[in-house]
Amino acid sequence: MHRDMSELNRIQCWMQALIMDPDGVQSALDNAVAADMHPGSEKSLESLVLPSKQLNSLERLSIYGDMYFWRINEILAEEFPTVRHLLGKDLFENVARDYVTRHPSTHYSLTRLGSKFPAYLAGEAADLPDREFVADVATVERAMEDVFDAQNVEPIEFEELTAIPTECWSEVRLQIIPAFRLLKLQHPVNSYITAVREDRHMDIPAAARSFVAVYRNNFRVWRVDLDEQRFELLCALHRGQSLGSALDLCASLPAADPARVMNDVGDWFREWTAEGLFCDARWEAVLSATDVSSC
Amino acid sequence: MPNLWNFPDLGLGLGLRTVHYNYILENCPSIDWFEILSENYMDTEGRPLYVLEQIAERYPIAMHGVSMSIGSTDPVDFDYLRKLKDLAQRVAAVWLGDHVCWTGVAGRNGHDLYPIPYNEETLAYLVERIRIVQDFLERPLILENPSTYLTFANSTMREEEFLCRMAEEADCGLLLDVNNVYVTCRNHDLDPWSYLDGIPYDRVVQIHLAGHTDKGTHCIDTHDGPVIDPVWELYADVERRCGGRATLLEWDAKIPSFAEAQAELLKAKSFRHTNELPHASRHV
Repeated sequence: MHRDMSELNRIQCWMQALIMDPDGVQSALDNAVAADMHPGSEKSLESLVLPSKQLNSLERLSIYGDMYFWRINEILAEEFPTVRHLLGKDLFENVARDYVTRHPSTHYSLTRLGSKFPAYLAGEAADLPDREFVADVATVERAMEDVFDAQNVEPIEFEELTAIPTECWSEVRLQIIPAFRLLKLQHPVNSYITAVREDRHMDIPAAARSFVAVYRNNFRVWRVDLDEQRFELLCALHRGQSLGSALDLCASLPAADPARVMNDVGDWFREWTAEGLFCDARWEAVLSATDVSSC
Repeated sequence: MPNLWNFPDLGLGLGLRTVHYNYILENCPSIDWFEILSENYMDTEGRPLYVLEQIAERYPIAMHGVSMSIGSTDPVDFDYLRKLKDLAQRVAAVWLGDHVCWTGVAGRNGHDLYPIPYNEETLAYLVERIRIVQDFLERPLILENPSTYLTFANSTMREEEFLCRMAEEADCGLLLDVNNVYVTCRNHDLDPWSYLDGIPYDRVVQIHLAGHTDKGTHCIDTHDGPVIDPVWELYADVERRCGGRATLLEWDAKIPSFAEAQAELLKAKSFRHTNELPHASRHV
């Protein structure tokens, strides 16, 4: 504050505390915290907010309080439509109100508002039915929001991969585009999300591990189920491991058939490059006793 | 009457909304200009920015924000301003603005436009903040009168007087939202015609039109329907006083087809006080 705006600051802090109180403006006025924050010497609402001919001071202030929680609910419902479907209108509203009270927005961008929602649903939210499933759904829907806005980088073509000399393949490090997320989940939520978005009924599936990639291609957001081998391979590449060590890891998984992995891997990379998942390929020079030319 | 900065009368424009992206890209409709909500494009490299850059190649773009929080007692957010400035450069924004309000304090954001007390202390504070922001952005701010729902007891002047002095002392521009004038005056038992008498029209760069929701006891600025006749009458008066100002229709909820929004906007033609409307052009 450049000037002594302590009075304006006190008014703003007081008004914000009232508006953001989950139990409403009247309740906030009644509680001790709001009373302590009251900026005036005369502790009445009317000493700060004037009535109009039609509305008293409380009703006028409550317009802002009502709009605050209405807006938060709208934003979260838009970002998490499947969670909203699972919880139903009333419970979702209550959950949204509790969430924003525990995790108020601190950034101007509305897209940041829901960043902690999956973790909140997994742990903090009280009396949540199907908690783990709901939290998994929220994790996918939040990832969709993240990749929607993520940095845009031109992907490389499959031909650029095939142009890499064969002897250098094991050393290649593939960079995955920023608009990409890999999710390991406790429930097969992907098909459920699709069903809800297509307005089809689907029972909540039984718990079972699932692996989902969420990414953006040509400015559209996609979700795709992966098997464990492909998931671990992409995870390893995402961590920056070389293709050789990533494939070794993939082939060593208990459920993996190394021969089949090696047989299928070409198709996987053809598909992934077609989906624009990689934006760079780098490899170290390979040195041998007889040949010091670099790849 | 020209505005002080000779900002152009862009003609009749629409608020750019996601649901209209495809229509605009495919049909290149005859619309003079678009206004964007700045924050929708500041933290993304996804489709919104991709579409905006294409539209900005064909139409003039004005930037209008909702999160500058110029009236907040929190420090000025220079990270926000840097992104705003970058975006303005990227889309060659003809001007950029926000609202006379605060959106949060103590690091929190309510994502709403909260009113400020209209008194000498707030005025001096706001003027100083506007100057800091304008120096950083290297251009005048175009600030809008908000719709408000309460009156602070420590307000000592009317909103239009506050806006007039703020604009003069900070040397900033005004975006006169005629619907907000109507809504605010209804909510505060004021005469909108008297409000309009107090506006310094040489500082008005742009006009907003929108629909609202009449709750009987008060009005809410919902932007969810057509402009009502009393607002058109106020607009006609403003146009008479200005002699032609860039006019923008906002429609943010229950958004109709582009054609329907465009038809609503074109009603403004009959109230405009300029003989010629500029055609859509990148170079205005």
